[in-house]
Amino acid sequence: MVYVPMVPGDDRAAAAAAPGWSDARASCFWDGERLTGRTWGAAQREQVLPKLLPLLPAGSPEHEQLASWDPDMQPLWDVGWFFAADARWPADGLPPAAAWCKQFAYSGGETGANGFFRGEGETVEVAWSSWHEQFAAGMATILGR
Amino acid sequence: MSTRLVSLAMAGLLGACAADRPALADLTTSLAPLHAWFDAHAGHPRVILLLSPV
Repeated sequence: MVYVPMVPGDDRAAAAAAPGWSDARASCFWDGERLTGRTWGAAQREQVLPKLLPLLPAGSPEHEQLASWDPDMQPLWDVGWFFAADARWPADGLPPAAAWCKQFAYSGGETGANGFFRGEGETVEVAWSSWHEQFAAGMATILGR
Repeated sequence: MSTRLVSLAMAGLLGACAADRPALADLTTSLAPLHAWFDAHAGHPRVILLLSPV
């Protein structure tokens, strides 16, 4: 879990008090400078953005916003990557993920009310979904279920 | 995005595995601590989530 400051109230103390991470399998990091979001955002913009743009209606606000995305000014967040057991950390960028999801629209967290980009292998799609569903799908991919 | 929602999703899917809250490691100047974590768990499926803590 990497915590990044993105909205008012986000700070190291909030990260230290974030709920739900009292799990022996979790490690938590505080990325106050948004190094992850800027570094990996740059890689994702190059590698994934060309696949995402055709999924959005040309000329729509969402398309224009994505097309002009600058990861240095708007670091990546609300994203999850799911790595297989044999994934290795590369010299540059992010390790290759077996699956990933990125929330781009939030409407209360209910199933079907939140927009996600999701990817698995070479496939990318828009899914109106929930974190629960996206997390389940990612875990199923890396656990081979 | 609320960390609470994601943590609820994780808890429901992974099952309870109670432990003391893990200490925060700082990524102040590099991603080296994250890289070290990733390598330390090689051979196992791993997940990285980037979320706002609020």
